[in-house]
Amino acid sequence: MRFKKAFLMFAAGFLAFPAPAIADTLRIATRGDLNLLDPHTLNETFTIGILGNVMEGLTRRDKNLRIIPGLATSWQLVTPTRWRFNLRKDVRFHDGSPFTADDVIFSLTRARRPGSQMRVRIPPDAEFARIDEHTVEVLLERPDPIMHYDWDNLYIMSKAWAARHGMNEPHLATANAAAPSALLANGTGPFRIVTHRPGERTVFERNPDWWDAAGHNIARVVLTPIQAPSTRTAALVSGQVDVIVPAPIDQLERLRRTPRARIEHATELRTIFINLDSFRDNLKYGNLKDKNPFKDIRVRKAIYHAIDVAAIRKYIMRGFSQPASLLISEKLFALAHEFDRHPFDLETAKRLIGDAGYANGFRVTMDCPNDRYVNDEAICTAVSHMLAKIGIHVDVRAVPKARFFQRVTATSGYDSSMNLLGWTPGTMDGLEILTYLAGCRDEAGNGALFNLGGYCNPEIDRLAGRIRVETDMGTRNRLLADAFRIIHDEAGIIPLHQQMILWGVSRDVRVAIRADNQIRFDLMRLPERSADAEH
Amino acid sequence: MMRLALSALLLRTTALLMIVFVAFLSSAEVGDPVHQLVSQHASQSEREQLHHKLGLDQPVHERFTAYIVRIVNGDLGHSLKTGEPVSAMLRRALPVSLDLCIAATCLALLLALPLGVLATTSGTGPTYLPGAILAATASFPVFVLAILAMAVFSTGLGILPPSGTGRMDTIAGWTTGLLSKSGLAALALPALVAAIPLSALFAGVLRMELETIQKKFYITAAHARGLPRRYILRNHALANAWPALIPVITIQAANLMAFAIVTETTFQRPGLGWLIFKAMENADGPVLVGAILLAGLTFWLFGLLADLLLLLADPRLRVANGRPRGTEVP
Repeated sequence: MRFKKAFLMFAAGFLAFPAPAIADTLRIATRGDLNLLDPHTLNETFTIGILGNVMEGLTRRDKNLRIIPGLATSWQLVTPTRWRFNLRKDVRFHDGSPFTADDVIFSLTRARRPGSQMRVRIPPDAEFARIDEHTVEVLLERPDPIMHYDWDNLYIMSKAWAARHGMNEPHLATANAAAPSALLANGTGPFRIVTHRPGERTVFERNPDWWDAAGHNIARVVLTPIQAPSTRTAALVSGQVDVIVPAPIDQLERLRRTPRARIEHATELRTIFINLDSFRDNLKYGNLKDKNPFKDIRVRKAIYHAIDVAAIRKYIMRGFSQPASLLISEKLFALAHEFDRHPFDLETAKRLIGDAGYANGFRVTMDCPNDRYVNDEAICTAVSHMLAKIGIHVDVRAVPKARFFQRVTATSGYDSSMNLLGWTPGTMDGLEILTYLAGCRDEAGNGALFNLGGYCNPEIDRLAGRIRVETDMGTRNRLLADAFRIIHDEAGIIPLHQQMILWGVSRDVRVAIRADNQIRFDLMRLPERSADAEH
Repeated sequence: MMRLALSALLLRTTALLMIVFVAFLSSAEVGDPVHQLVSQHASQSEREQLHHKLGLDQPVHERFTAYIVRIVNGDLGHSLKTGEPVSAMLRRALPVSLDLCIAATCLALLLALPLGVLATTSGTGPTYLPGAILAATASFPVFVLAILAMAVFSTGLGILPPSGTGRMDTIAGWTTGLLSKSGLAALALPALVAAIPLSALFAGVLRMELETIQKKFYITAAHARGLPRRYILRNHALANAWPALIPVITIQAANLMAFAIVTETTFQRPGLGWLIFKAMENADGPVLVGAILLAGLTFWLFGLLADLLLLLADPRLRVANGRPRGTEVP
């Protein structure tokens, strides 16, 4: 009896404490976690997106990803190789120091130093010149019409602050010791960081001195990672947090049934696609040791025709995907409307594969991550079932991303015959598709490093060379379309879909989701409290 | 005595070395950390430089020797993901795990004692229930219990948070959430979920032990002397059943301390198990090996604790040259 009493008291003690609720604080739980705060160390969507609440670049992107003025009020191409940025006046960093041309030149220079993953965003031949306290010029050797496309995440630091904190050099992601200052941040943005425990919890508060008019009504933001999908959902449903990113796709029903929460979605820029090894002369992971069917355009097109993306959308993605006809989102390419997918058509697929001489089919292993993209493994399994109908027996080898990327990339000599990959163009531009995914490469990765199937048509490289320096946007888009047409006609790489970004949001909170999946607090609003509401 | 202690020490140190070596081998198997450390636009030569810089191109045995030399000097290395010293990460994780370990073990014991005793004395009909509960709870996987518990207490009743640690206070160097309301509230579900299968195990052991003891002559003799049933249960049966429970409890407590991976990741408690999981996910070798080393140490310490507790619980073991003495008749 004593035990029973003790237990009851213990249990009662636990149950008596309700979770606290604070009205002006926005609580966000994410799958990803925030580690270093050095703005130039990691070029990774989650980190630079969150840091974008604290720091700013010369340009910004609005919620529809249109480029708008940031710390520069305007910019122009004085000549095709000379950019001029007019800087905003009366801007102060969170520590109170004023923002000037020196900070811009310091930050751009810093972003090109070893240890910075951001240096890919600055042309290697660029030089920076201070014209006056609020004017900076960038001088190039050859034209780069899209130089500023990804400068919205090229954040400007305070030169004086960096010097004071020993931050003159970017912090190496893999340095032997994290400088304590790599866990500090000082920007000009709408929020500043109050406390930061890497991977555990970060607290932000509103910057009252921000130069722009804030569209939000948030005083504090608490960001916590919650990896387990069901816990993240439970945190939202129970009111422990206000927003969850992402909402797990297998928990959508549960969220729909909850009056307290709802689902918000947007099509992400990331495109999911299939690479077929057309580089090797044999099928390394398959039953054909003396030839490689993927070298044959007819086989690749047969595979394209045999994949039913509508079924993947309906049954695997539960409606939350956008079938893709290109390797780039239609939001990022003006001529996307000229392209349609090769239709799902088993008869054509069977005829093509028969014409190619593989009427009896063959066997191949498909590599697939199981923790990288939405339902990645399930997509591979579905593709396997679909290709079985045209006699291609696909064995799915699904592993965690760390192992997947080790195997399929240049690190292991592209040790894969078929694989699933997703790509968001960091530059927000189609040229990247050619230079990273679809251009030719050798077995060591010289060329298009992430062309994981080694598909090669030299015409694409030739076009990419022209696109790189073409300053007329109409001509440039036409050239891009020509290159995409080749990939499409040859089914060099097979696009599947853009996945959707799904957020779970508490009933009264308003959010706008950016298609680049960057989490911006100033696009969110907490419920308005009436005047007599208690504080 | 000295020789005995020395050989025990040697044995346990060897065991630790073996654990570290296995952890090392497995850290090489979890994948390539480099892909997650560089920009998607990084060139292959940059990737290879990083490989070299991290020493990933060295053979495993060389890395292992270098690592042992470093830990002997008190340096556990740095996380590949964050650059933080591994020792600092372990120091942060340890109190979180310790809270869960203490709360869940205590809760499991509180549940196990009545359950074990009732299951022993029960027969058929309604008294069969404790045995049935035992069998049922023992076979529930932790993550199912976790989801169930969240559904009831977090999303259903809305009285307990489904994740986090709540407030942690530091008192005399000991950081714990056991002293704050929000800390206790955050601990309630994970502790309950971890305790349920454990209580089944403890109760099972207790029941088996009690059933054996009840067939002993001294129990029969006690009954013959007309002692009350409850007195016999407490002073004769339970007192003699305790020692059998101690090794089970300590091993399970160590397990909770070091490897509560499912509980900690489900409830987002950044303890040791969570750290191990994250390290595997990120192919973060130094953190993985450091955490497993600490887990090994935990088992080592809890083993020691078990020995001490046994000495306290079983007076026969305290007798030098240990011929058992006491009431037991063979």
